[in-house]
Parts: sequence; C-alpha cells; structure tokens
Amino acid sequence: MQKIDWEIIYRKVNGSISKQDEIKLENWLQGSESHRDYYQKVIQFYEKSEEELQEVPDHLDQFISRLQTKRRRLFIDRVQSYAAVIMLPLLVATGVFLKSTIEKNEQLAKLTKSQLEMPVIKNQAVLITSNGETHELKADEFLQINDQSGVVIRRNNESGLKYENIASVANEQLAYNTLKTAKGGEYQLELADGTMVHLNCDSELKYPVAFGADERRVQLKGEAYFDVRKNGKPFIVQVDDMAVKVLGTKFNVMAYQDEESVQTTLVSGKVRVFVNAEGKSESLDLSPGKQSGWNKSLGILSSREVDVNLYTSWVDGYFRFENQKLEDLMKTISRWYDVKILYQQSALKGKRLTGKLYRFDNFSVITEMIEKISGVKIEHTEQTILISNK
Amino acid sequence: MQRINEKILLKGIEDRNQSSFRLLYETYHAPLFRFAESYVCCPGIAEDIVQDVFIKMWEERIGSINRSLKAYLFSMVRNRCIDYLRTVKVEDKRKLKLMEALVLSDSVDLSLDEGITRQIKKAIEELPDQCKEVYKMSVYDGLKHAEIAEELDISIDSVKVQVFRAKKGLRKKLMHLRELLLLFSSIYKWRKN
Repeated sequence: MQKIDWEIIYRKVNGSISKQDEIKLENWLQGSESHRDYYQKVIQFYEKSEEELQEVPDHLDQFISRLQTKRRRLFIDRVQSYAAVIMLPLLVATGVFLKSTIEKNEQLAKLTKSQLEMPVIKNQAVLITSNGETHELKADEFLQINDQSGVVIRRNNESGLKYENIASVANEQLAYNTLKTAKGGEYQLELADGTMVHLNCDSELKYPVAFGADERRVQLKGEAYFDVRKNGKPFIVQVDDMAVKVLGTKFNVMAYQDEESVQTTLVSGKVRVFVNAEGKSESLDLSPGKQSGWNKSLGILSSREVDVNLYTSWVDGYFRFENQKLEDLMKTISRWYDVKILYQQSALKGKRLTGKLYRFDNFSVITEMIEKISGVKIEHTEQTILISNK
Repeated sequence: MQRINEKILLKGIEDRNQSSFRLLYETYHAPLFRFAESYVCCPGIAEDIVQDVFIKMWEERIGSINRSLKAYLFSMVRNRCIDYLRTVKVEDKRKLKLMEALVLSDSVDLSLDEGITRQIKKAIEELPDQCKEVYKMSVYDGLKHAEIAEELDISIDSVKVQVFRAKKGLRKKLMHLRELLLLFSSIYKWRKN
C-alpha cells in the first residue's frame, strides 16, 4: 500500500487538489478503514475554530493518581527482578534450593537503598557519515541527518537509527557510514534493507548507506546481533579474514580483539562462515543452536552446540554465564563498565561461575554479586578493579 | 509559558517529587497537547501521545539532557506523532504538518528542524510590522500579553488581536507558499553541500 503525502489530504480539505492527486487520495481511502477514519478526523480538525483549537483537556489529578499506581507496580516488578538476579547465582553457588518467600525477603532486606536505584541506560554512539562528518547519538533525541545521495538518516525512539529514501546503487558508488559505540554504550540501527542490528559496547559497524545490486556487506569490530531481512541478496558480515554469509536469519557475532576467537552464534535460519586467512581457506555451515569459533592464532575453525541464550542475552540487557571462567566474565563486564581488571593471583582467573546479572545495574551491585558467587574479594577504585582471595 | 529553572525541575522529577511533576505538567501539557493535536488532527490520540511522554518522564530517569527540556519534550511528542501518522500510511513530506503544529502551539521558537525553522522565520518577517513585532515578543521573548501591551503602549486586546492575526497569517503563508518553500529548501540543500 502506497503512503500518501499529507499535503494531498490538506489540498483536498482546502479544495485545491489536482485531478491526479484526487486519484491517489481515493486509492489511499480505499486502502483501509483506518485511513477513512483518519480522514474524518482531519476534516473535523479543520472545521474547528481558532478558539476551539485553544481548548486543552485537563486530567492532571487523574494522571497523577495513575502514575502512583503505576509506580507501585513498577517497584514490585523491580524487586522481583532483583530477587531473581540475586537468587539465581546464590542457588547455584550454594546448591540449596530456597523455596520459601520468607527466605527471599531476608535476602532482599540485605539490599541497601542505593542498590535499588535504577541505573541509567547508556544508549549512545557516534555516527561517521560518508563525507567524514561525526555525529554524537544520544538516547531519546530527535536527529535527522541528510547524507550525500539524498539518503535520510533518522534517529527513532524505539529502533535507534533508521535509513530512509533509499534506492539501490551501483557497487562503485557505495557510500559508507560507520557507527561506533564506546565502552558502556550500545546502539540499535535499521539498515537500508530493513535489517536490524544491535551493536554492543566498544564495537564498530561499517555499512553502506544504500546496498549494492548483488550483495549486502558490512564490516564488524566487536560484537553485534543481527536480524537480517530476507531480500534474495546475500548478507555478509566481514570480520577481518572471516565472513558470515546469510540470506535471512538471526545471529550474533562476537569479535572483540582481546578474545581468543571470533564466535558466531546462530539463533534461527542458516548461515555459512568463511575463513580466508593466510594459507587457509575453509567454510562451515551452522544450523540453529550452533556456534562457530574461529581461532586466528591457532588457525582453527570449529563449531559446537551451545545454549544460544548465553550468547544473545546481552541484547535483552543481561550478562548470562554458565560455568564460565571468572576471567572471561570480567572481560565482558569491563567492556560494559569501562574498568580495568587486575588479579592478585592469576589462579583466580580460572574460577568457574554460573549466573545472570542485569547489565544496567550499578557497578557495585554487580561486583557484590560476583563476590558472593565466586568467593573472591573485589575492590575497586574508579577505573580499576582488584580481584584477590578472600 | 512560565519561565522555570529546568535543572531544578529535572532534579525534582528524578527524585520523584510530586510537585515537580505537577509543575512540569502544568507548564508543558497545554503546548504539547496543542502541538500533538494539530499534528495528528485528533484530540484523543494527541492526549494519549502527550500522556505517554509524561509517563516516560516519570518512569525513566532522564538525568541530564544537553538541550532545553522544552525541545526534548516536543521532539518526543513529535516522534510519536510521526509514528502515528505512519500507522495510517500518511507521510508529511514537506513537513507542512510540523509547521502548522508549531504555529498552533505557539512554539515556533523551537528548532526541531533547521530547514523548517528558517522557513518560519522568513514567513514571520513578511508579516505586517506591528503584527510581527507583537508576535516576536510573544513567542521569542516569551512575554505575557500584558507585558507586551505595556512595552508597546497598546491595549491588551490589541495585543491579542495581533497575535491571533499573526498565527492565522503564518498558517496561511506556510501552507500555501509552495514555490517559495521549494526554492528555500533547494537553497538549504545547496548550502549543506
């Protein structure tokens, strides 16, 4: 269904519509009941006098009481989610199955007020457009950038960045944008083909503003979750000498440079992972629930079955880990909270942990939780964490 | 519109202070509602949109914002209006709807969109002299009708008439000057490149 330009409706209301536009309007009206309803509203709106347009409903008191009930509910939700976050690691660590709510409440009572405070969501990134301009992106700000070639980039509340007004272009004319997140930041964007990308912290995605005629290729550093829109052309995520090729599917690619291997985790659909390094060229097909690992220094491309949630829960705001080394968990956490990790004894790095932490918690809540489940002592100054034996 | 200290107000909202929230609502509800109503052409939907924005202000701690609170609130409302129009497959290509909403909510001093701000400024300059003067004092300087009346030594009623005339004139101008607008937007594009 074609969209209609509001100006056409306006011209109709004002009696200055052209024959051609009249047909467009008619088509749009035929399109849906909701369109006809909306048209009626427009007519009513323009029938209002200037005085009537000054009228504003006043529901302040009702509204305040509504907020208060909402607030109570929210508070309860929050307490419950904290309870889950605390309980899960405790259960695993102690092996005790605590059923009664009394015991839960005891655990909750130990939380101080500051720990119940909601953390600020860090939704921010930097966008570098094809002409080299840099734009800082912050949460909830309206932004519109006109890139060369008439493409409009809109910052949207729900979905982050969005590319509009796009026609596909010849390969040699591809204009690239780069989206960068800092430590502690994350960002979502919708590419020209409708593919959604959730970029994790300390990561970088380079992509064409409009895709070429035969393939869709983007370059990734760090970590991102892709929900690729099917359109017949292959979608390729390039990570140095490795590439993931798909048609339409959901998957996560983790390619931080300080990690041993590049992990590609498939949620649904089908992907093929290609490696084209010095003296080595191979590929591997993944089915849902599988994860491939490309270890560059060893030159090994392998795959294994995994619990997909462990690798994609960051998209929903959690750190999830199962029998994971303390060192690996702390690496993830340091990227998000932008801290350096030091170990008093390197043997501590190998401790295995299981649990779930809420990514938007205050840092002190996170460290306290880790102390509890791992039995190590964590001290931190502003930018550094020291981990030692208790 | 009342002149208030935004920082203190934001801090109060962050601390979930009810009177801060009342002040926020009393200050911004009416202009936001008028803006949304003109944007979506429906008072019911407009009220839903504005309430949604206030709820968001209450539930999510905004912390600090690096521009005016007013601009922040209006762009949240604006985004929701655009989203609504999208559901009925209407697009506001030349942003006429946005311009009309800005005029009808007495918010032409906001710069949500650079190109539109220029067009509105230009249209204001073309208003008759006294009308223009009164309107600018009212909208850009935020003066009350009585203050303008005193300053210019005219009656409050004639201030009201001039403001009314200015709004009506602007609406007409902005919605009909197709050729001028096109010329303007091409100059704008050219300048950007």
